[in-house]
Amino acid sequence: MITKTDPTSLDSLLEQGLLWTPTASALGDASEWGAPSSFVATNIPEIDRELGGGLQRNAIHTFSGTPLDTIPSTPILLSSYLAIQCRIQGHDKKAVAWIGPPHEWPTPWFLTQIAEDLSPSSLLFVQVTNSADLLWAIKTALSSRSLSAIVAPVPRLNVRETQSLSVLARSGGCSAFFYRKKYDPSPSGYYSHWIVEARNRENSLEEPFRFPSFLLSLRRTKGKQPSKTQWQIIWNNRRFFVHDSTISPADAVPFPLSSQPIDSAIISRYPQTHRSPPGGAIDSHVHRTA
Amino acid sequence: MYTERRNQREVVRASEHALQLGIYPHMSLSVAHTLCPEMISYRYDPEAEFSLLQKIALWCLTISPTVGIDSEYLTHYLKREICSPLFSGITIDLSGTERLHKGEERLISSIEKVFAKRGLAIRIAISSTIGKAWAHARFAPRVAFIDTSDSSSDTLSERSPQSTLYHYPIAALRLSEQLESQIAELGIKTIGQIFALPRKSLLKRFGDTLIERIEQFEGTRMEFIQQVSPAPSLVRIHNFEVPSNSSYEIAARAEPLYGSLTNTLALENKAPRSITVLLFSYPSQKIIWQRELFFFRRTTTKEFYDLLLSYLENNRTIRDVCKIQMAVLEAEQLLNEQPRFDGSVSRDSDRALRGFIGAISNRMGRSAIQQARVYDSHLPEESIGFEPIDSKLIRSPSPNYTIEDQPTRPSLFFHPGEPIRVLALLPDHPPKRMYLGQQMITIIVSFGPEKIEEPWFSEKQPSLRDYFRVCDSHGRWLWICHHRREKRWMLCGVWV
Repeated sequence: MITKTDPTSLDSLLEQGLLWTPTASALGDASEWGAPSSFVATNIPEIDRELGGGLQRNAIHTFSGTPLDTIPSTPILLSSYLAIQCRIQGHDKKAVAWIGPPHEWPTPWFLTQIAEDLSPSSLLFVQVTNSADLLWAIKTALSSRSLSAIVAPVPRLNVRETQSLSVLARSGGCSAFFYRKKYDPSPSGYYSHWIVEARNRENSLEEPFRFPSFLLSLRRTKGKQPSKTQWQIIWNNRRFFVHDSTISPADAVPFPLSSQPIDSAIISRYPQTHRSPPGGAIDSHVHRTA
Repeated sequence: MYTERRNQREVVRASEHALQLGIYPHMSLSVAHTLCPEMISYRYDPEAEFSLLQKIALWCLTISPTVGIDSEYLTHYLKREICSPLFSGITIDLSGTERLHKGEERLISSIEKVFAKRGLAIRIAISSTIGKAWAHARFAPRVAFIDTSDSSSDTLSERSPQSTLYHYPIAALRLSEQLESQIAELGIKTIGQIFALPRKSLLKRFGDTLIERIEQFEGTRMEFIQQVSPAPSLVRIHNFEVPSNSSYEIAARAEPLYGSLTNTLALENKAPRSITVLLFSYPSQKIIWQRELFFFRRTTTKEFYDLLLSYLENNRTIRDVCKIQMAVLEAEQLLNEQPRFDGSVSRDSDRALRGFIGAISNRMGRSAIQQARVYDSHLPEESIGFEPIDSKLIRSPSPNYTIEDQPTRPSLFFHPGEPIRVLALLPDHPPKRMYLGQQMITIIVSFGPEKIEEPWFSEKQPSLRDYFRVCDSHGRWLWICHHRREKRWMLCGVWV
């Protein structure tokens, strides 16, 4: 019989999760060697350091946006990014599923930016039209053992039901990233709650305004008190990073036009004009409110 | 029906009424429209025509076991050539079936009735050789013709001016258009004229093809029928000795039926995509339960059993089941897979994924589960899309599409977009303020315009679009579009 302290069976230790202690430093090596890791690294060093390695794998995390958005676009896309990280870092290379209405699915353009060589077969999109089907599809996905992560809008549930979803996620080996428009402070069984806030730029036009950016904070998490840190996250068309971190926006891949100084009134190139109108091309402009 | 040849639309098939109006194959479609302005034309679909002929041929198996589509038609079809409408026909060997049909007149009238019921006009002829029957079916003065001439005097009949065959055109010999025109150049127009000429000179001048046709016509040279064979039955039935109320028993009896269907399809490397299951009640023999089940790739019998049981278990209306009927509605072609060391073809995770896709498809429909696709198009709405999942798609490699090639496109895309109202300082300039419903959005920075035009050859009037990438006061990056011709603005996308 193999006991937990039996040093002769590496396989059993791996299965029990004792061989690889998930620490921030060991995470990269562990996932490279196919060892089971209980964390999903966000690849944003500041957040991974704060969380002790990353987000809990096989758990449910929720991301809330700002109520003024018609669609919680940033929570959706951040969730999508993390779901794909789950697949990339998981050794079993299971699929990722988006469950919800089609207008809330990220575009293939965005998915290609996150992971260029990701096969389309590993990304599934489940079109759901009503709340009953949404909950059923989420439960089916969590318990199917065929998915590494799912992204879905938060279903309306009580505490007991959220706990049962968390149990399904743990037993089915599937991480879930739920998004909603507005933060809900009511108790739930989800592992962590994140808030995404827009940066008000009415009076601040400092760099790097040319990149989409937002403020991210951890509101609640299981087992410990979250820090009060609020990260200013920037999306550089390829990855997320924290502003004022070691990666400067200049090193990042900018928008195609952003390499030009913003104060230049007219940019003389027309890189995205597919067909010029008769009589010559019309200048592309960069406009800025004074 | 028309097809396009050298950028010109050409008539390939015409109805009887159109023929009477002077519209015939190889005529330009525009000329045909001039002759008959109210004419309705469709693009010719050779696959559909072949499929219809095949269906008719399969039905004809009820008349005789030897039925075939005309060999000339098959030759053209396999070469992807459009043949003359004369060649599309079916040959039936009636040898030995006389007693079964109780007379040829009776057989012909019953066939005519069947086709008339379905709105199909046919020409039919019975003769002693395939060649003669073919000629009579196309050129006889009546729609249905029975050649009653004595077989011993057949060879003489076409040489006699009193014979019907004598006056048939040379096309009745099933000749190619080229050979037909060569013969016509000599002033030979009818079969009688050609039969009057010495064979040796015909052989020397036109080769063996003409002689072969003449001899087949006479019945002195052998001719084969390329027989159609019915597809294997994809319907399975199980009759219960004693009516059953147990969902477990019903599922257990249905399981081998599914196995039998998958084995039949596996011979062609196919797997069922959708199956309909019917349960009949005793004693009324009425359908009490019907369900279409969807599968994804190779679903095992055990998975089928679990799926069927999940539907039957909670259904209390299923009582006194006396019969199960199962039929494959759709099958998919599978790609060859390398078996694993343990002999299995798929991994456990594949099996689980199959189960998940099957569960979603069965509850929410096949189109509920989709995959992302990228296409080569400069129009944003045509360059990406989501399509229902299928096995061909799941194996296809990811598109060759790198970030460097990619124009700046939003992370979420809305098509056709949300209508917005805007305020701009100058026409054709990006807006300074926009209204999404009641919400006012102040724009602080904008990039653009990116000009995208629809192709000039599109059916509707091509629209001119100016896309702007704008940042609002809350830091959101939005993609807005100005449809210049329609003078409307739309919100088309959002970045992270």
